Amino acid sequence: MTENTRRLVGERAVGAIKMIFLILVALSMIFPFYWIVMASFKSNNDIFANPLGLPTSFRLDAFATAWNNARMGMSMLNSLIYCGASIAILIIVSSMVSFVMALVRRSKAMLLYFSFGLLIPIHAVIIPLNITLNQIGLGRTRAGLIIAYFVLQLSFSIILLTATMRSTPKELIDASVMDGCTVNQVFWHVALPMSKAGIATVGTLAFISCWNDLLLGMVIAPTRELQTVNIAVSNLRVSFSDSYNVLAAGITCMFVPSVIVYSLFQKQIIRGLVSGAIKG
Amino acid sequence: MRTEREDRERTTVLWRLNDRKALALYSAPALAFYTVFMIFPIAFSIYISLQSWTGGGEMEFVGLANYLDVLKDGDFWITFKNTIVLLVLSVLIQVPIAFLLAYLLFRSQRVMGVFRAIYFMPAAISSTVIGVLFCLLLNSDLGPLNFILKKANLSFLALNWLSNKDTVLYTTCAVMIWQFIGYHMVIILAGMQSIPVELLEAAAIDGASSGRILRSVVLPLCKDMIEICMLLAVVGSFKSFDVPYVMTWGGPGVSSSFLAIYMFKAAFLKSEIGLGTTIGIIILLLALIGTRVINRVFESGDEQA
Repeated sequence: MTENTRRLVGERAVGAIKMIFLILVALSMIFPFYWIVMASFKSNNDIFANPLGLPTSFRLDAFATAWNNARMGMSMLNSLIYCGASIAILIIVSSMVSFVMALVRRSKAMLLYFSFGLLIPIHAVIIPLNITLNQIGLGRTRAGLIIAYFVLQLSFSIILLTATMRSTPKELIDASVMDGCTVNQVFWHVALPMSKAGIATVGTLAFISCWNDLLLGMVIAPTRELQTVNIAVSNLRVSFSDSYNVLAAGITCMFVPSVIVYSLFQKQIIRGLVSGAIKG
Repeated sequence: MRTEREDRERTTVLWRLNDRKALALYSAPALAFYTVFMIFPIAFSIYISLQSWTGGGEMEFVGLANYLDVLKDGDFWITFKNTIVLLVLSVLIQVPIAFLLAYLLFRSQRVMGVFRAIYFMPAAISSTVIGVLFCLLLNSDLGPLNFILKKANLSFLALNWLSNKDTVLYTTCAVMIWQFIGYHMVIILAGMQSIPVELLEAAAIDGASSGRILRSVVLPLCKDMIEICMLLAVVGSFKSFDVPYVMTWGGPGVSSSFLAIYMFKAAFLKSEIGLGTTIGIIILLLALIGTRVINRVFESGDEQA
């Protein structure tokens, strides 16, 4: 072997080791999900006898039990309502105030006031927030939980949208005012369309944190009719602690939609969460 | 007094439209919601933390008694220690592994997209689901982990991951670290991708080895992103709730309980609202201190460089 080929072989070997390492890590990320889907098709005895293999027969009864007992359909609908409503309110309210701070009159004091919320972990607010909601009659209601989800995203969303709207070209606003637009028209027809990217980021982040929340749902909406998906899953864990196939089916119902949405919007979700982390 | 010029810089032509009413309407909803449901609760929580209160009935002013009760409670110190263990493991294991993975992917552009999507996936899925999932995976009788260990003649390693007092803390920490490795990796990778290609090429042409490039170019230029990851790891540790709550309920005893679970149990199971609020404020203070410390560490690194 010449010196050159030896070096080439060495590089190949290092490359192969790197690749194997990357693949092993990837398998550790995929295997748990693969295993749980397989387990959800097995009978309980089958899981005991044969934890790693494929199911011997595909049974769907675990899905039926999980779906009905955890009230999956209703909980998913609940969570969708909470996410949808809180995100809609969040985007409208925060883009309105961001519009004023970015394009009409810059106010350091107001921005500082809103950014205070970024420092506060939800745990410090959750008890007094719950009491406040109870006092104004919104405790244990959908509206109360929607307000909680919306308010906890507010600071971040305002900071991000203010930054986005600042980059609207001044000429565009001047021109639209010259053409006789009112403040409302500038907001709807210039500022909002120009900050689509920021709004998409805010929406993505808010959706993920709302859909994945457990604590707020448990505290503010603890009744069965109002329960979120995550409460449904954690109840399933308590009531079916011995029926592993039912548990597996319940989790499968929960994460398969998430995985589908994730694989469709993977690029946007990653971009959103990264820019969220950096700005936050 | 503000000069007219300063005033013009702060405003745009929209301000000069003189439609003050519309502007007030635009700011009012955000200000109102934020003040009533965010700022007021924070102020209120300081007030509640000075009272003895079960949620209903009379409040009784007790001064700092709640704080003293928390500090005297052995369970508080155990959950505090657990939280610090999680924090240290995140900073020393999670972020470095994330950096390693980001660097390996950065060097192999062709496969980057696929691996990035796979690594990030657990972070996009609800922690509650992840928690229940790992209850099954780590189940000592039927979970595949112990099955594999037993098959491989490593039965002594096949522990009761979730009921053994000595391992349960590390089990829950491992699951939380596993879930968010991809998140940190993606942030660091974004930092690496923003390094100008010319810089890397120039270093390579000058004959710098890949180890040298990593140390002298990539690492310093990713410092901001690493700092962000450290901050997220610190704040995340103080907020950790879902995974341990679902997996072990903080148990056995308080051996895998974290501050947030301790707070939840005090406030909503024992109905000691005053005490729970006090723990919430302590979490807030610890998160602020942790953030400050990380900022300091990275600032002093800047001065040395």
